[in-house]
Amino acid sequence: MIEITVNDRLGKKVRIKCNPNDTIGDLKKLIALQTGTRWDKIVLKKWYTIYKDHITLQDYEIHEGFNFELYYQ
Amino acid sequence: MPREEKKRKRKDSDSSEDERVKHRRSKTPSPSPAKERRQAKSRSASPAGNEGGGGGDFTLSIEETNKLRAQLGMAPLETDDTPKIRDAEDGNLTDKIVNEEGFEFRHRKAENWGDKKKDEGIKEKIEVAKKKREIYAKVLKSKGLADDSSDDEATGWVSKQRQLDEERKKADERAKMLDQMDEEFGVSSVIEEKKKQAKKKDIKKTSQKDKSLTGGLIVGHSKAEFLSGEDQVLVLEDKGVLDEGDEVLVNPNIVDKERTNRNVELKKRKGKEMQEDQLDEWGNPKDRGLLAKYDDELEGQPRERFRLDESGQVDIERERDEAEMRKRLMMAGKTLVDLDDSNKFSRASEYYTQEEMISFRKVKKEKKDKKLRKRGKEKGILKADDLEPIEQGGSSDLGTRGRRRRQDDEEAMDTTSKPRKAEPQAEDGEIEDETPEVDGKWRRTQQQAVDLDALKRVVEREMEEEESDDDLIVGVDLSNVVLDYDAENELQSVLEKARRLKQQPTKSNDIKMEIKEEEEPMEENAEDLAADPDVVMIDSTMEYCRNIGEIRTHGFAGNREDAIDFESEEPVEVKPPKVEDEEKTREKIRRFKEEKKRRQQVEKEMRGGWTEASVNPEDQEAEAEAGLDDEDEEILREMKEFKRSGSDSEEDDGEKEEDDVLGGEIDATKGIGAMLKLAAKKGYLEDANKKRIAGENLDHLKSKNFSKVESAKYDIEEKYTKKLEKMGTTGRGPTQEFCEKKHYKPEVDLSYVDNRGRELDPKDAFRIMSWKFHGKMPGKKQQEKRARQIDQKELLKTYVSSSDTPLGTLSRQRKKQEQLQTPYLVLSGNTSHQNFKKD
Repeated sequence: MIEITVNDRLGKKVRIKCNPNDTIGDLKKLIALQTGTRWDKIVLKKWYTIYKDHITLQDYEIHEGFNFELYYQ
Repeated sequence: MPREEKKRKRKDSDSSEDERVKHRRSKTPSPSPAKERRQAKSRSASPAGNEGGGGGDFTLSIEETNKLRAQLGMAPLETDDTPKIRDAEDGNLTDKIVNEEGFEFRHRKAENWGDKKKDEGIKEKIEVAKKKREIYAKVLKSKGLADDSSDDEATGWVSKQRQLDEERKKADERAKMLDQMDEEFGVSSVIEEKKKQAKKKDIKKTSQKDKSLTGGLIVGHSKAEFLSGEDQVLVLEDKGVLDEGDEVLVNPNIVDKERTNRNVELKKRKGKEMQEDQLDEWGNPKDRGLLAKYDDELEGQPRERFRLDESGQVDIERERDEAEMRKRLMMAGKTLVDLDDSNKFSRASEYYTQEEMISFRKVKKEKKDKKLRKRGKEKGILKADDLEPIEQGGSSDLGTRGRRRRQDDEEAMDTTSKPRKAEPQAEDGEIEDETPEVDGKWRRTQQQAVDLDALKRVVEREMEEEESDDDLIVGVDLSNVVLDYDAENELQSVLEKARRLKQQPTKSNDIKMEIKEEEEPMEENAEDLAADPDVVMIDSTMEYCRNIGEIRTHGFAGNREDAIDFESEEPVEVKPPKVEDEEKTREKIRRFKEEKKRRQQVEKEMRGGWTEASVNPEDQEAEAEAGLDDEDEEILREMKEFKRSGSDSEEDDGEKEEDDVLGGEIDATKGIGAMLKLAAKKGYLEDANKKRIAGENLDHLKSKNFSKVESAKYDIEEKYTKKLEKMGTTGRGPTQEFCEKKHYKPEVDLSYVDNRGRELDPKDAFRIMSWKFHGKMPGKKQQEKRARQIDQKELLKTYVSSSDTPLGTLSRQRKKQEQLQTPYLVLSGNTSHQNFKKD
C-alpha cells in the first residue's frame, strides 16, 4: 500500500492510498471519488508524460510519495 | 523493473512541507528508519486529522479508502504485516531483508575498509611476532661458543678413538685367524710371495708409474708448450679403431688453442697476406719458404710432436735454455714499455704541485759586484751558491765523521780527526756546536761560522794565555777562506761613492780647464765670423730663444725690432777694443778667463748642493740662468763676459738683455699714449674688437684637474711635441691674427644643387644631405611623391597666365612701349625707322 499525492495546482490536493498493483484507471476512480469529478475526465501527468489507464502503478514504478499532476480533459 | 537497490534519496518535487505534513498525518504501519527520523523531527507539529485538514490536503484513512474501493469493486488495500526490516535467516546472518512494496531485498552491510586495514595490520604484527619467537627459539637453542662444553667433544673424540682401536684390534685378530687358517691349509708361502710382489708393484707404481705406462709414447704438442712446468693432463688422442700407429698423448685445451689459431690464420689469409703474419713474436720475419701457400695442402697441417723415452720423461731443459737465449738476444737492444699508462700519465691535479711551484721560481741573477767578485775569486770566497745542499730525508747521516771529512776535503781544509771529534763534545764549553743536531741545509757555513768564532776566541786566548796548539781548533787552515759579509761590502761601496764625489770637482775642474783652452781659439774664430753681417750664425742660444718664440726667423728678417741681436752687438762692441789696444784686450781676456774660473766655481757650488739665495746681482743673474741648460749657461756667460769686457756698465747690459727677451717696455712717462700702449701690452685694457666666445661657454664644466694620460709616441714629431710640452711651450709661439687681413670679412654663400640641376633652398639641401649622411633615403613612393610635388611646383612657376600668352607678349609689349614712350610698336625686324611719328 502506497500513498501518492495528486495535485491540481488550483487548490485540489489529495492523498490517495492504493496498492502498487492497482491500475491507473483504478487510481483515477479513487481520485474522482475524492475530488468530485468524473474519473474519465481526469488526466494524470508528470510534465508531459501522460499515465495510461491500463498500466499498473508498479509497472510505472510509482513509489511511495509520488506526486501526480492533475489535469482535466 | 525491480532493482536490487532502491535509492530512497530520490524524492519528488514535493515540498518538504508536504512531506512533513504527510508524516504528521499518516499512520504508516512500519515506517523506515529514515522516515522515523523525519517523523521524530517533525513531531513537534500538532497531529492533525487524516481527513481534510488545514492546508488543502485531502487524504483518507485506510478504512475509508477500503470502503470506497469496495464501492468501486476493487480489492481492499494491502497492508504489511511483516516487518520491513528483519534479519536474514539463512546464508549471511548479518544480512537484512528489507521488505518494500512487496519486494524483498536482501541488504548486506558494506565492508568497512578502514576496519579491514586495521585488521590486516594487526595480522601482520602477529605474524612478525610469531616469526620472531621462532627465530629466538632456534637461536636460544643453539650452543654459544662459551657454552661449548669441551668435555663433550673430548669425550666424543675419545670414544671414537677407542672404537677405532677396537676395530683395529678386531681386524688384527681376524687376520691372525685367517693366517692361521692359511697355514693350516699350507697356502701361506704363496700368499707371502704375492704380498711381496704387490708391495713391489706398489713401490714401482708410486715412483715409476708414468714410466711404465707412458714410455715411448708420442706427445702431440711441441716441447714449448710444456716449458711452464705446470702439471698438465694429457689424454690419448682419438684414433680410428683400425688405424695403426702409436698412441698420441694430447692436451685437449692445447688442441683447441691450436685449432683456433689456425682458423684465425686462415681467415687472415683469405684476404691479402698481412704484414703481421710475416713477423715473429720478436719482430723478426718468419721464414716461410717457397710457395708457402700450399704447404698445408701438400703436407697437411704441421704438427709438432716429440716422443717420450722409455721412462716416460723428456728433456726439455734444452728447449728451455734455447728459449731463454733467444729471448735474451732479442731483448738485448730493446726496452719493454709498459702499456699500462698509469705511471706515465696521471691525472693532472687542479692545483699546482710542489715541483711546478719550484719550477716557477726565477733564478736570481748574481749581483754585479765586480770588485768584490774579483776579490772573492782570488781568495776563494765561499758563498751559499757554491755549496751543495745537504740531502734531505732520513737517509743522510748527519753525524758521521766520514761525511764531514769529505766536506772538508772539498773545501781544502786540513782536518784532524781529533779536533773534529772534540768539537761537538767539548770546546771548553763555550761554543755551541749546532751542526750535528741541526738538520739545516747550510751546515758548512754554520761550521765555518763556528770555526771563525772559535778562531777569534782562540786568538784571544792565545793573546791572553798563550796556550798550546792542542786546545786550539785551528787545525783548519782559513787562509784561503774569505768571508763575504754583506754589510762590509755596503760600507765599502758607500765609502767609494763618497770618495768619488769628493774627487768630482777636481776632475770637473780639470775638464773645464781643458775645455776653456780649447774654446779660446774657437771663440776667436767665432768673433771673426760674427763680425760679418752676411753670415747667419746658428747658435744654440739663438735656437733656444727661437724656440721660446721671440725670434722667428734667422737673420734680420721678421719681427726683430724688439729682440736684441747678440750678433749685431758683438761685432759692434768687440771691434773697438781690438782697434784700441792689444794689451788691453789681452788684459781683458785674462780678466775674462779669471771671471770664467770664478764663474765656474760658483757653478760648482751651485751644482754640489742647494742653491743659496744670494744678494749679489751677479749671483742673481747666475741663479736666474740656472734654469737654463748647462751648455747654454756656459755660452751665455761667455757672451756676457765678452760684453762685460767690452762695455763699461755691466748692469745695464744685463737688464737690457732680460727685457729684450720679453719685449721692450714702453716708457710710460712720455704721455698718455705711451701709458695706454703699456697698459694694453700688459693686458689691462680690454680690446673692444676682440672676439668673444659666442654660444655656450662650457669652461666651467671642463675638468680643472685634468691630467693627460701618457700614451706612447712613436713618431719623432710626436716625441718632439712631447718634449716641447715638457718645456712648457708649443713650439709655435703666440698666435697672432693676420694683421693685414684684419678687415677681411668673408661672405659665405653656399649654394646646393639638386641632382636634376635645380637650386635647393636650405631646407631641402639639409634634407638631402641628411639622407646621404644616414644612408637612408625615403622609399620609392615617397620619392615619387616628392618628384611629383616638385614638378607641380615647376609647373606653377611656369604658370600660363590667362590674360596673356604663354610667352607673355602683351606684358612685353607694354614694357617696350614704356621704354620707347610710344603708344605703338613697330614689329618689323628692321629697327631703323623706330620712331614713327605723325607728322
